[in-house]
Formats: sequence, structure tokens, C-alpha cells
Amino acid sequence: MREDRRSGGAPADAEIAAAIDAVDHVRGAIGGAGRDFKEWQHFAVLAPALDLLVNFSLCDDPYAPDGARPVVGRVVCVVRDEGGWDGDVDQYRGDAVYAARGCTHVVLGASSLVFRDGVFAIDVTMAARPIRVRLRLRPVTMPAYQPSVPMLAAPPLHWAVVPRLEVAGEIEVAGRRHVLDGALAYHDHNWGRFPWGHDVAWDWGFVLPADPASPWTTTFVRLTNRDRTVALAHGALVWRGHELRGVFRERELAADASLGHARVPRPFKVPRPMALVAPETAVDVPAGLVTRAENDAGWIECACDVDDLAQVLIPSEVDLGVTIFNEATAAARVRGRLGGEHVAIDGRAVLEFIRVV
Amino acid sequence: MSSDSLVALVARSLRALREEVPVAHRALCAAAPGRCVRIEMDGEVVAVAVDPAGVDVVPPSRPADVHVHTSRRATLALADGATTLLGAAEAGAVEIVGTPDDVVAFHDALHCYFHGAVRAPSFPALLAAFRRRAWSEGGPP
Repeated sequence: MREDRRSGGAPADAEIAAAIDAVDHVRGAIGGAGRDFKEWQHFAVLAPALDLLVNFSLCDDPYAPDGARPVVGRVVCVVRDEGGWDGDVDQYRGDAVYAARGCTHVVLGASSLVFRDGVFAIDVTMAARPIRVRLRLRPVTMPAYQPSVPMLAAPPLHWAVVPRLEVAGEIEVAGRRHVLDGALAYHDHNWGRFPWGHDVAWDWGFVLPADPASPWTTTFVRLTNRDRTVALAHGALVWRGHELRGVFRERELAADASLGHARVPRPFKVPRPMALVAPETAVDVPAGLVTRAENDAGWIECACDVDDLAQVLIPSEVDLGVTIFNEATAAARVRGRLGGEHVAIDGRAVLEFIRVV
Repeated sequence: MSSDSLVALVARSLRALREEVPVAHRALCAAAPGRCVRIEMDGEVVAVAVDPAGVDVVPPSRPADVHVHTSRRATLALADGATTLLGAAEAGAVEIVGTPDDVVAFHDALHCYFHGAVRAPSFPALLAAFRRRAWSEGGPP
């Protein structure tokens, strides 16, 4: 784990922690967060021999008995190592769900997420898969808060992002033990009110450098209607070290998805029973995505080539459909110029393509 | 009839479908009105029919429009995402017999049942009970 070596104007860990605390904390109320409430805290770790996605969510439960609509908590854990993909979605209700509003302290069954003393502690034990995750993630960038992302026929979505964290800890998958010390990770937090199956789709992603010495990090998102004919929001953020250096919005961006689709012989799907209602092996994911952005501060071009993907499948809450979270890994190359400095990232990306079927 | 017999589990699942995901129950009934399916699984038989009152278990002596032969192993492989319904049929792990119209109606109704299954809070426990029964009889883990 990194020591705090910063000086000369760089914020101390405590300043970063305070900035994160101010925007990145639990909003939902256990015992009833209200109709269509959704909130999730998402982590993605890109290590040399392992990719990991962990997502803690708290959502209004439309299928609860008696119309009580309490919160249902879910832990999504998807991992890829030399053994291939593994993972699951564990779902918790009632006393198995604990979350404290105003801070980050979530307990779902035997798994927990805590932000304390400037560090995220993730402790996951999957109920039906041989997966254990014990990680400490130290943010090394200031957060960005993007409130009021417009939605169609629903209140706005809110987004807090900490795009770069240093990871230490252990992950065990089917007896294979991975020790991480200094791997990079991404984290964000979304909350809003809308039903799954709502008229929305998004293409979102981040790029972390293969070389941790590289100071650049970027994330980008394009929100559309589910047919992807109406753009609702488009943005890209670029950090240098801890500092947010570039913000591109709306018409300053263009996205160019390749005409060819990503070819994955048999996508890994969780939770497994959802494959009964979404058995398709073809994926509506482009083989490549190029995002270009330019404004007075400079420009960037981010090219991602998808190499693999897993699908997290969520039942629609508006009809008997399925919302598909395509979690794609990709090789990434970013070039640009910001504030007179060259931007260069050669690394890897995770791209998320939301589709509704 | 034991509580984890095929008949008991199917009856409980249909009740959960009706009570917890009524939209899926209505869609199932609309997909196969008046039809009856007879399912034989590792020697157990259950018949399910869509009547005006809804979908429910009926006596196995009732004439069926569709006959299904399968096993707990094949059913768990489907629930665990190890294969698809089409893959299981092609492999002979699930056999579905009926006229084309009846088989299509059964497929559509089964799809609605699956949609209810992945939404209803009671189904994970029902699947666990089904899995325990399969294990107790030496089936697949």
C-alpha cells in the first residue's frame, strides 16, 4: 500500500477522505427508501492476473409481500482469473440488510462495505460460490460529483466518482489465492429513482494505466434512451494525479462505436437462473468504442477494444423483460492534451453497456 | 405427498407465482389457455393445467396437450445456467412432445413462469429444496 508521499500543494489523505465523505455516502433508508429508489456502490479492480467487480446495492423491493416495499440489498461479485469467470449475485432482505445513512457502512449478510479513515474496506463472502474478498482501497484522487444527470420520465440520477484507488488485500476464488498490493481500482456511486426497464441505456467506462506511475485517469459516460436514439447526457472526466484536470460535457464529445460486435463465445451470466430468461449468446456490444472530446482546455481521444465480457442480468420492473449490464474488459489507449500537457494512458478499461431486452 | 416432492414443489411455485408476481401469472395463463402439460422427471409425474381460475397442479390422469420428459440433473443445469432450454432439448436432456401449436404455447408459458421465478422472493428457497432433493437421491451437486 502506498505511503502518503505527497507534498507541495497535493491534498493530504484526510482532505481526499473528507471530500469523498461529503458526496459519497449512503442515501437510502432501511425500512422503506420509497418507490423505485436505487443506489449502488461499484468497485472494479484491474490487477495483472485478475479482474474483479464488486457492487453493493440497496433498492426498493417491488416484489415484497403486503406492498411494504422495504429495501432489498444485493452483492454482485464477478471475478476473472486464470480459472475464467466466476461470481454471483447474492440477495438479502429484512434483518440481513444494514446500512447507515450519511456514511458508507453497509452490511449485507456476511459481506460488508465500510469507508473509514480514508479507506474503503470491502469484505465479501459469496453465499453459494467459493469466493472471498478482503480488500482495502485507498483513494488517490479527489472525487467528482455529477448531480442531476437527466433521465426520461424519472427524477435525475446522481453520480459520485473516485476513479483511482490503490488496492491491498486478498481474493480467493475456488482455492486460488490472489494477493494484491498496489493494484489500481475504480469506484463510483449512483443513486436515483427509476424502475429497471425504464427508458434508459448507458455506455460508461473508465481507463486505468498499466503502469501505476502514469498519473492520468479518465472516465466517461453516455446516457441515452433505451433505443439509443436520444442522447440524455454525455461527459468525460480526466484526472492528473489527485486533481480533476479536464471536464468535457455534452456537445464537446462524440462517441464512435464500431459496427462490428464483440465476439464472446458464451458470455458469463449472473445470477445464473437469469440465463433462463436471457439465454442469448450474441451480445449487443460494439467490438470497439472511441470517445473524442474537445473544448477550450484541450482534447482527448480514448480508444477501447473489447476483449471479454460478463453479464449481470436484472429483471425489468416495468414488464417481463431483462436489463442487461454488459461488463466488458478492454485494451485502452488515451491520447490528448490538457492545460499544455500531453495526456497518454496505455492501459485497460472496463466498459459497461446497458441494454434492455 | 412429501413436502419436497415434485408435485408439492410445483404447486408451491405456482402459488408463489400467483401471489408474488401476478403479472407473470397472468401472462402465463394468457400464453396457454386451456392447455395441460404432463411432466415426468426421474419417475415422478406432475400435471399442470391453465384453467379459467388460473394455472395449477391437476391430477396426472388428465389428458395432456404437451408431454415433457426430463431429469432433475437437466433441470438444475438449466437453473444454474450451464445450458439453455434449446441446448438441453438438442442434447436429449429435455424432451418436449406435442403439436407445434401446443409446444409453442408451452414454450411461451414456460418463459412466463421463468420470468416469475427470477422475480418472486419465494423461489430461491424452492430451488434450494429442489436441489436438496436432487442431492439426496444422488443427483448432481
